[in-house]
Amino acid sequence: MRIKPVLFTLLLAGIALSAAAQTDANAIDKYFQQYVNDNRFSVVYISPKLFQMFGKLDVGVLDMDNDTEAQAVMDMIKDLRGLRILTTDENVAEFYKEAKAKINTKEYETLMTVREKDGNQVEFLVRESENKIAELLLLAGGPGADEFVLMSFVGLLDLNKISRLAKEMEK
Amino acid sequence: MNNNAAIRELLDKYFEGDTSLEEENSLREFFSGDIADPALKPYKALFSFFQNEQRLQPSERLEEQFFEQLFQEDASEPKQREALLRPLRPWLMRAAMVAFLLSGCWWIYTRYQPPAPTETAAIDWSKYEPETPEEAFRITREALGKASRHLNEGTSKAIEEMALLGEMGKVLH
Amino acid sequence: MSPESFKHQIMPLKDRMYRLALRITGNPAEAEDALQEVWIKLWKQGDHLLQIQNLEAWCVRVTKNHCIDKVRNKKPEVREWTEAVETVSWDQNPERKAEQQDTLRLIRDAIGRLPEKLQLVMHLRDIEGLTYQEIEEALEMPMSQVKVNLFRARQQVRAQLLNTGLQ
Repeated sequence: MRIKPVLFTLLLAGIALSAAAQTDANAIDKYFQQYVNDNRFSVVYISPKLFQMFGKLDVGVLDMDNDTEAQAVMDMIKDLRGLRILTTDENVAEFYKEAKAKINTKEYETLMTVREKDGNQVEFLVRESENKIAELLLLAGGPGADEFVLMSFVGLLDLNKISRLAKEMEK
Repeated sequence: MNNNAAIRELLDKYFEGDTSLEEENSLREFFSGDIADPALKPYKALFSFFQNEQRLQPSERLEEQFFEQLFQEDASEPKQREALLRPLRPWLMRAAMVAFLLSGCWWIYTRYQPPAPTETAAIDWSKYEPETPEEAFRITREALGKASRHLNEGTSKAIEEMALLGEMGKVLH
Repeated sequence: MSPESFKHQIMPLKDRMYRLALRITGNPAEAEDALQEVWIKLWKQGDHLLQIQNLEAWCVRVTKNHCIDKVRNKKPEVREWTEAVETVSWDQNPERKAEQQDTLRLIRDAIGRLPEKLQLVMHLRDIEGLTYQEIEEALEMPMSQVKVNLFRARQQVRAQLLNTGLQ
């Protein structure tokens, strides 16, 4: 039938457009849409503009334990384009479960899952673009945890740098 | 031979198209035997050919295959219902296509119309920004620290486990 | 119509239908395919089939029409009788056997070169042994035409037979 090609083109166009639209929103956006106005959650957003202002801050005021730590933090902030944090201490287990289910596993790949003895779970997920990490998600909660945390670091991240930071902080 | 003369006569009749089926049968019978007369030899080939062709048969499996196919078809679609649907089928197809097209349009429409106001641009992130850069820095540092700690926790656990596996490997080997 | 009655009414004619299909298609595999298709056609006629007076002539006719359509829809190509048409030789001596195989092929080719109508009439008469009336019905051809075509077919085959110098 002659109608078919037209139909398929239309549908394909529709699918392509909607797929393009979907990838724009990041995981937290999608999750936030539901809870942004929910009083149970506390929300923090740090914009690229704020990151830029960090450079002008007086390190002395910042209550840093040592200079190398400040250096490490500053070093990483250079790479960051945005930070979003969503936390709550209610219904921790449930929100954790829901968030896990909502995150598009095609887009985000699980980097590691840490399961602690008290039931607290931490999951790292990454979204890659051109073989570099473009977004790091930290998802913490689970049964037994007293806080649900969803953090999204957007930017070209170096996991080694992040890992080194903890060591600097412990000094 | 007397017989040969009769056969020639019959042959002529045959080529004129005047023989009966019985006469044609007797010709075939005659030519199935040995033929001495060289003038009759070419006709032996012809009647042998006819006889040979009469014995050709399809392969034995053919009939079986046909009935197998028949029962499969019978089992897969009830005949009566098919007969009932047959005249409707082109229309059903068209209706299904129109429905498909409409649902496709509807799907695209619902995806594109409402999202703009309610979903995508919904979040005004500036509301959630810390008021001072100092506060922002503190939060960032904390967040990074938390991520870092968990990350190291994960890797060290993994290393521990690997080490444990290594130990077990040693015991096992 | 039940498969049982189909088996009893139609299947006794299967050899005759096959040979006709083979005559027209010239290829055993194709003839068998055609036969399957014809049977399905007939099966779909259901109880209708039982009301047909001369079922045999009807089956021959359906087979003929189907095969002719099939051959015509096909791209023209050399119609070759494959070796699968196992010929029954009338001599047990292997040398003579091969020779006679060649003779049979010559005659088959000679008949194959006849116009379609002549071929069909000759096939039904000389191979299937049908009466003129049966041929008339099967080929939807007036009796006079049947006779004329048979006459022409036999004459032409004889001429070819004598020309090729079969001794």
